[in-house]
Order: sequence, then structure tokens, then C-alpha cells
Amino acid sequence: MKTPALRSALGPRETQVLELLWDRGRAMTVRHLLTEFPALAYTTLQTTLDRLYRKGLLIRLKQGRAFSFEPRCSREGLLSELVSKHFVDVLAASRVNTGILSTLVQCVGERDAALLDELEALIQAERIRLQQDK
Amino acid sequence: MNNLAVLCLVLIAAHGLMNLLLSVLVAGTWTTWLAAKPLTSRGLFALRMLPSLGAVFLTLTVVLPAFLIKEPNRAAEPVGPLVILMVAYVLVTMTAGCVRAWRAWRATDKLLRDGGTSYARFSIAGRDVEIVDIPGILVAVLGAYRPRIVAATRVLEACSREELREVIGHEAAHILNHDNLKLLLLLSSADILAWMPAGEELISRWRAAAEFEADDMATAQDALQRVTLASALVKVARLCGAKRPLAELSMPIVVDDLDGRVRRLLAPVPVAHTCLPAKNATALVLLLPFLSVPFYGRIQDFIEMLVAFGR
Repeated sequence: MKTPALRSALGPRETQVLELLWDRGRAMTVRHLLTEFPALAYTTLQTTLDRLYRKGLLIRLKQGRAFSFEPRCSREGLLSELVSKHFVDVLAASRVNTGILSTLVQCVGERDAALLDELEALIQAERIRLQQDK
Repeated sequence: MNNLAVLCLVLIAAHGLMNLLLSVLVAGTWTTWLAAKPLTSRGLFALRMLPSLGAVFLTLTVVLPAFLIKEPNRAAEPVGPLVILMVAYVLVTMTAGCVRAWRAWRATDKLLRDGGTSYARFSIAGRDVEIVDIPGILVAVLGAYRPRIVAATRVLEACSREELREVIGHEAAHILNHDNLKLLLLLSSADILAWMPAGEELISRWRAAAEFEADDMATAQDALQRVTLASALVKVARLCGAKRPLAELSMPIVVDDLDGRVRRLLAPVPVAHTCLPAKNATALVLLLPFLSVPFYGRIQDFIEMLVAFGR
């Protein structure tokens, strides 16, 4: 599943390598990957993997003298992150919550769990009162 | 410079001057009086749009006729620096408004293009509504011209059928009220108010009022439906707190907003009211072009002064 979001965030070779690692579903070394990309030089593939690793998209595991690489998150997870980033851009476009959207609720942090508990208790109490009134 | 060019410059300058004066008037009235009053979203929208739309209206219905009727038929005269300054003001505010609108539209469009997976469609008041799952957004209406309801599948999983009906009803109310289109107009409003704290406060208050009114529309003022919507709000807020998809945003974390909304939904059904006499104000605005006819001479004198100022 190639997505426009992924293509716009990564280069074509980076996307190809990442797509292949997702499809294989296991860690692979440069030498393993070379069999899948025979047209590429070892160093080119090594550079592409290093670039993806520096971008935080791959995890690097030491295997003897070589490194093997596997995706840090799933295809869907990465897509979600990319789109969330666009969403941040939408809202950061101005000081007044720019972006043509009306959200149901503004975000509340974990520190506000107590408030949510309190509100839930109020809702329960009101539900009971309405049932008793019937 | 020919007469037509002078006319155009004078009209733009008059528009700029009125825009500036109305901006200051709105900011002053808001800060000293209206900020403390309960206003409907319509009143807040009208107040925020007054400088830009009011200036266009007055220019076309008062200044233009006064200039055409009273301007002595003579050779075109050079314009002074005040006219040039006002024209520059109009150009700057209009460009800034267009840029704000374009940025918001582009970012929203990108969001829809990159992440949207449509999974349901239904019709409200003859309009097709598409439900899309976009990672990072829990529930929202996205877009101005063809608004779509965005609802994450985990929201659908967390809420009961009744709660979902209220949630979608709330978002549908935003669509029926054209709230996103209004938001786009508010963001693109070409005036100096956009850079003033009063302008930001007005938009923020408008958003809050629009949320309250969408709550009221969705629940049809039924107590049980209001409790159900309040319950859905808390559930969605909990999802937000757990995953924190928007935690990096520099937007205000208005916990009081959620608190206030839930308590409002649980309280006795409120009556919408406004302290702006909307009908009287509209009638006065529509009569203004006619009321100004006896003052065309003075208006023309003022235009002459504006053109000659600093020359």
C-alpha cells in the first residue's frame, strides 16, 4: 500500500526500501537487501538505510559485525504520524487555531483525568435523576 | 492621473479609513463593554466581520454616490500621502487575509488528501455527508466548501450507539450552520483587527458559542439527549488524553471549555440570548445609505480633505 503521504515525506529509494522491509516483516542486513535491489551498489543501499535510521524510521540491531535493520513502526503507524504532523501544521498556521475544522472537544492532558472523573460522576448522577423523574 | 484612477484611489482609501476606524471601534467596544456580555455566535460573527464588510458596504453605498453626485466636474487632481497610506493599508490587510485563508485551505486540503479513508456516507438536509477516518483527529468537521465529518474508528468503538448519534448530530449542526465557512471568512477578514488581541478573542469566543449552539441543535433541547452528548464528550476527551494526538500543539488546552460545556449540558436547558439588538442594527445599516443623502455635501468635503491631506 503506497500512500501519497509517504511518497511526499520520503525519497523514492527510501520509500522502496521501507516498503520492502514492511513486506518482509523481519530485520534485514544490507547484504540481504542487496539481493532484492541488484541494481544498487552496496554503499548506496547502506547510505539509504542510514538515512532512514537517522530519520527515526528504522531500528538498527547489531548482528555479529554487521547491522540489521527493521522498521520502527508499522506502515499504518507511520502514516498516522505523518498525518498528525500535517494536522499540527494546520493548527500552527496561525495563533488562532487555524485550519478549517471544528473539533468536538479540545484536547485535555492526562493531568486532567481527575476532572474527567468528576464530570463522569456528574453525568451519572444526572442520568439517575432523569430515570427517577420518569 | 485621470479621473477614473483618482476615483479608484479615493474609494480604496475611503474603504481603508473606514476599515481602520471600524476596527478601532469594534476593539474598543469589545474591550470595554461587549466582552463581558453573553453573545450568540451570529452576533460575534457580525461584530468580527464589521470592519471589513462594513467598510465595503459604506464605501459603495455612501462614499461612491456622494463622490459621483457632488464632485465638481473638473480636471483630475493629484492625491496626497494620506490616500497613498490608506491604499497601502488596504493592500497589506487584504494580502494578509488572503494568505491566512490560503494557508488554512492548503493545510486542510493536504490533510484530507493524505490521510482520509472514507467509510460511511449519509445525507443531512439534502446534503451528502462523508465520514472519514484521519489518524490524529478524533471527531471534527473538516473543510469549508465541502465539509466532511472526520471520526476516528476508536471513537466509534468507545461510544454507544446513542452517544454516536449525538456526536454526529453535533458535527452535522456545524455543517448546517456553515461554521467552517464562517471560520474561513473570520480568518481571512482583511482588517487590522486580525493583529489585535480583541480580534483573536472574538474568534475564540465565536468558536465557543458555535460549539454551544451545535450542542443545542444536536440535542434538540432534550434533557436525556444532553446527558448522552455530555457523556460522549467525556469519552472522547479521555481518548484524547490517553493517546494525546494533539499534545504538541501550541493551541490553548481549554479544560474549562470542556468542563463548562459538560456542566452546561447537564444544567436546565438554556435560552439563547444576545445583547445586540440584531434586527434594529440590521435595519439601521440598511437605512444608512438613505439617511446619508442629506450629508453628501459634507461627505464630499471630507473626501476633498482626505485627497488633499499632506499634499
